[in-house]
Amino acid sequence: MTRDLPTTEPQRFDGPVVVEGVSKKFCRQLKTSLSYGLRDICRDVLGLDRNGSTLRPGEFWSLENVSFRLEKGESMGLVGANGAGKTTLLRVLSGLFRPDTGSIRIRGRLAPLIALGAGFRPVLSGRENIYVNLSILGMPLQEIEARFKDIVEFSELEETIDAPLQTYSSGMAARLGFSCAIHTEPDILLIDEVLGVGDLRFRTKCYRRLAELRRRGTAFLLVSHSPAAILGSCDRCIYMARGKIAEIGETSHVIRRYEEDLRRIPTLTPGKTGTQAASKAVVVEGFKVHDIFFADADGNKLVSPVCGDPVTLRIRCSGSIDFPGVKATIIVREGFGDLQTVLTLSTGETPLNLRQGQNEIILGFPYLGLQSGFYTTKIALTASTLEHIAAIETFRFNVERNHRTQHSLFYQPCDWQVVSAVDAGESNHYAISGKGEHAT
Amino acid sequence: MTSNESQLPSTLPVAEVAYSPESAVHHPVVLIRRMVHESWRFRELVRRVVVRNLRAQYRQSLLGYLWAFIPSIATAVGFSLAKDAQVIRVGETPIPYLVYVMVGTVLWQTFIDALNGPVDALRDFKGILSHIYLPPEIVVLSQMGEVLVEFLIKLLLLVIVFVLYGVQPGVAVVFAPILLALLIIQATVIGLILAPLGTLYHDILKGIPVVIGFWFLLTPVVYPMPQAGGIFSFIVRTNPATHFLVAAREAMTGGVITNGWFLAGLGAASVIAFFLALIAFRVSIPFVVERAGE
Repeated sequence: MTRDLPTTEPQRFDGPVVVEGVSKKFCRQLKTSLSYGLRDICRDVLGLDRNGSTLRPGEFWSLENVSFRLEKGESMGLVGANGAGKTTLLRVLSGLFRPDTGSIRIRGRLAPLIALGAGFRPVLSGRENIYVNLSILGMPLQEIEARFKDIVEFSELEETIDAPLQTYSSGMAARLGFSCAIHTEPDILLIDEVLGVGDLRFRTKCYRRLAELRRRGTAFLLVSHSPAAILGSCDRCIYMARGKIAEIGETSHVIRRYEEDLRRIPTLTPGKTGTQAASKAVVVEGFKVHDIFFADADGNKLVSPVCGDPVTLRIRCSGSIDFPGVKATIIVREGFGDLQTVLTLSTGETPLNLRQGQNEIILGFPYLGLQSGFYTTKIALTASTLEHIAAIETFRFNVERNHRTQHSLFYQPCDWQVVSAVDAGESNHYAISGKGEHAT
Repeated sequence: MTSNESQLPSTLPVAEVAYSPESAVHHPVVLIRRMVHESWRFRELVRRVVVRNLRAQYRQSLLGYLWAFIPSIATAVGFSLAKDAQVIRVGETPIPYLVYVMVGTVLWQTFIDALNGPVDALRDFKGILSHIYLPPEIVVLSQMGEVLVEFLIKLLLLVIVFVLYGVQPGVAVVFAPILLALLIIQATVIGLILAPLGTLYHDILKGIPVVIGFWFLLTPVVYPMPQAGGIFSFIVRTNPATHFLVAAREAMTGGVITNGWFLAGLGAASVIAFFLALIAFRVSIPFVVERAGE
């Protein structure tokens, strides 16, 4: 019985989503936008052509000529900067916006995990809200009743299900919303950054459930700012920029391109970074920060430090008097303040003694752990009186990629060894038979 | 179809949908079939919204459902007093004036509720419509159901008043439900056209109460149908709200309906207009969501 039995189930998929040359235009001026809207409504109701392919004054393409296919059981990532058109694309796919050109064909039940818990009312109990939410997702009463137990069980809210929703924590409400959405047995799931649901354990459970759906043939379109999330779960990926598909294909290839573009955006010129920051750094009269820069082990200024290299961060400053016992705090943030990674470096127990005249504060990194990318830094110097003597709001720098790391959040220097009992003989001296260096 | 769905959800027929810039009115059969199919699929939502809104409406009030009666009683008492004091002069009414006004205001209130239905529905559901696909006509159907239930509650008041004043409905009362349905449908048509436009331009929403106040005076709610002739009579007779309201009141209070064929014609036109307006509403919602969504 290893041969496939003839299936009685009807053919469920024929490329669940086919998008061909879809464009969508928007207008940023509200008044103009409303009058265009009124005109579009009138023309559409009367069955006249809306001239979708030409831009009217004040309009721009939010999506431009987007084409792709999503196959059965396929998981597609969608990345791009804010305003690149990701959300518009999801809304056009869900049928909320009409495309201005092109066509979209969808076979099967599409569930957007975009607005979790649509229609949730705080005064209603969790139980009533499940009914409301599922009826909004288009489910008849008998089906809701059939799934009710599973939903409550999955959300782990058995004890509070009859309490009003307003007594739930936001994490509990999100769990309920997620649980409802995935129990609609969708053929296609659109996921927009919603997996920050609940605690880590529940998140893991969500991912497991999504994987299970995928095995059963559900196709995914996953929007995320985090390349790591996409890399971990998508076969293919779309990179959108300014409403167009900039790159589509195998995920790691697309993500690499996306990351490269992300790094390119700020267009930093060497030297400008530090001095610009320093000019705004005067907090206390008689103390001045002149320059901030990265340097190699020999003290040579670096335009951009390389990930994994030994580097130093140097702060050149001068004081009209001695500043003993200075403490420094440096907050490093990835990107433009999306708060993805925050590293706080503090001098802690070893105060810096600055003398009258020129000083150079040197912060040494045996290995630069930051991954290639663009970083924004805040630097604060505090005197022993706890008074800020210098505060640098933004010091920006790029970190260059090195050959040792790929798809990693940070660079972890490490040694590899093998210790074999055979080599060591009877004595418990371990022999080192290999050594290498690798990134996480 | 339903029993199938509930037992074997995995063998649901695969729904295929297509989105394109082409206007949906080019394929009326596909459009109507989809509207019917989706209305059926979302029936649970319709039921739920009706119940929820009815419950929520009087949740935070001490008098509760009495509020369904109070406006009609107040209007009727007010106009009766004014008439008795001869502040206003209205023609002779076949039944006691108080009852006459009460029936009139209940019908008028139903007309206004139905007119505001699509507007209110769109305001309530704009957030959800901006994030999740819902067939837009669903929200309108829910509102119509709610208007109907509210009328039935008010009917209770009318029955009590009829008994107290000894008003007896005649045979024509069998037409009352149809006339009432047509009154609601007619008002909904107007609401369906105003709602999307009003969501784009709030001028329309602000204008509606102003127009309604004026409209009330031009409809025979607190006075009987004026004699033919004269500008006022012409305006009252041209007023679309007049005919079903007056006929429904006649039917309920033992009067006679003389203009049967005219009402049938107007009724047919209203029903056709209703379906056209429902299609127009559905077609326009994506544009409204896009321009004025949340």
